[in-house]
Amino acid sequence: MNKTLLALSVAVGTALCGLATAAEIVPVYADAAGTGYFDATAAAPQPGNPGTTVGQQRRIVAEFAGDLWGAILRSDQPIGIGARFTPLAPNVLGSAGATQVFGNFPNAGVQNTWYSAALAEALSGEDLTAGDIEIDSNFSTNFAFYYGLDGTTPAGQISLLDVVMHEFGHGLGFQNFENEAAGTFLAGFQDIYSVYTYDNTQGLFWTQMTDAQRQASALNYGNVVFTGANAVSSSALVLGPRTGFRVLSPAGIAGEYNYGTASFGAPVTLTNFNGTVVVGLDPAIAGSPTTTDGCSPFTNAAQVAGNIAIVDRGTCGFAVKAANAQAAGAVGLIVANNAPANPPPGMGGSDPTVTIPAISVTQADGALIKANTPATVGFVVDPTHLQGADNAGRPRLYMPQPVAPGSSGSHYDTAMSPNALMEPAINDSLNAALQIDMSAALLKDTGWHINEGNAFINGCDTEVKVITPTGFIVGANIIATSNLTAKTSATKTQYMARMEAYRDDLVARGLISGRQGGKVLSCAGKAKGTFPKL
Amino acid sequence: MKGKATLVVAGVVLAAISTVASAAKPAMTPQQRQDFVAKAQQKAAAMRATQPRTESQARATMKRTSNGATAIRVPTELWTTLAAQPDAKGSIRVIEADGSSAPSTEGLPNE
Repeated sequence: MNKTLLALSVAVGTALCGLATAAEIVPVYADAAGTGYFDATAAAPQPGNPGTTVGQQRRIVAEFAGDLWGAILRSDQPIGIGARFTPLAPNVLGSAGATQVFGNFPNAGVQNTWYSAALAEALSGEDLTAGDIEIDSNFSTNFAFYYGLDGTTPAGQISLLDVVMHEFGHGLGFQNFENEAAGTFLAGFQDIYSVYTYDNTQGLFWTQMTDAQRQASALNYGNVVFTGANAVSSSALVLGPRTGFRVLSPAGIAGEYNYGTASFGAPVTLTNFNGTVVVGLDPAIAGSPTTTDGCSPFTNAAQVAGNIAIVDRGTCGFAVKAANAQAAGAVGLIVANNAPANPPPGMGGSDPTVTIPAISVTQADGALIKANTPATVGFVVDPTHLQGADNAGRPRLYMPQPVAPGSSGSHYDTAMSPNALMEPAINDSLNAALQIDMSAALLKDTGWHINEGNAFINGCDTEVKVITPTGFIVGANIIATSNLTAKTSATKTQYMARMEAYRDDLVARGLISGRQGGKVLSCAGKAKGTFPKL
Repeated sequence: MKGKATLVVAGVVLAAISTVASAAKPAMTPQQRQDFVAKAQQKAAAMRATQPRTESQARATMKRTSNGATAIRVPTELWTTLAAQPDAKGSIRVIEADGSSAPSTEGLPNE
């Protein structure tokens, strides 16, 4: 066989290995009648979501998310996802994970390595779970979720679609199977996610470490990254320039420092947090024995005025410290943690009268800055590096100190900007209906085959990419929307009218071209059979 | 020349494969999907009831399948959770680079 033919056969063979249909991801509801996904409470239809009960709207969201991920990933094996609503801990939106993991199955890329059930089945082409669900998911009954599918989540609400996309992402394989608190792999075997998990400090992959080394790595905030080539290349396209809190002088402590932000006061910007740091002093009084906790009116207002005050955490609320700093004339506040932990804490509390920005730093960094006052600090942009990636452009993984069981390692770092879908916390800047950033790229590194071609509806090519290298999933959205519209339209005429309005919106928002819009509508017109589709 | 022709054929074949893969419709008919869900629902209740919580419990579920693969149930303590933080002004503000964005049973610390 000549080399060209050999190359051809390898290429075809490789392609055939990846030749699978779009994955069919099917929610398997576990709620009792009248509850959770079957909550019969009447609800006004939301943008993109025509359900008329809370339960129906929730089911539409779950199935839409399944269709989005299903359009993006390839698998011949249907993926069942257990789905229910249940009370969860305060602030916890949802939880999910693979029900089983497999190793040494046919076509496993790496031997003696765990793969999530859904990925193992996609690679092997076999129903390895023998009909069991591959993923299980729970969502909180404590939140007033937004059930719209258009990404316009109102302030104060969280998009259920974003949460479901995030949790389904975990179940599909965006997670390790390691106990970070102990450093141990599940049953002693590595997992495919950890194959790409690398510690810059130790210079080792997690699969090269002892349990003790992994245990230490799981606490190495800011220094553990995902090295998969697809995640790295996608990060370069998605992440913005690095923006950081920097000590500018004295030279001996100059450099970037981790910081936490506050839920009160002005958000930190490049322009409102620059200046000289001065330790804020207050009287030692009963119940507030230290002079650096900022819990009483400052005694050195003359020195603090016009500068950034630094005080210690403890004794009173963060907002109280900020109010006292502001009253002394400070233009900003730094709170030094009073216990070892990393990253620095986010600061809760509220006081609408506080208008100065506030950040927190670790106990060690706070001590360093206080020992070197007056120090000059500021927020700076470094256009040569990516926010949330290491200096080599590899996306950081979330490794907080102390360990967050089930969360450490299995998320992108919260330092990313713009926010990423697979960070451990979610906010209303996300829109997983149209953008999943580097999420699919990481899954591709673990072995998933991605539908990188055009979106087809009714067997017709819309000429819109299912997913782009930057994680835009407009094509997947078209597939999911067509499926939803076909299931909730009484007639083809109604289906066409709704698809036309949808098409018009995509074109108006610049998400697709006029030509692509024409293709979407002509493809919609090829729908056959009775409506609504089951 | 022969090599070029072969490469062209290879390109066409790969493009066709790619197109077919992208164009492929879901494998299941509506009825098959309903049957799949019904079967999965039956098994899911039992599965959920016996899903191990800890790794030591999970180890007892480790097995070798008929095709030679190794399988183990995942303890729920390794499942991930997702948290959010509504702030006092009513907007969802999850703190970037902070220490409390990990799921917790408490909100952001006030002090």
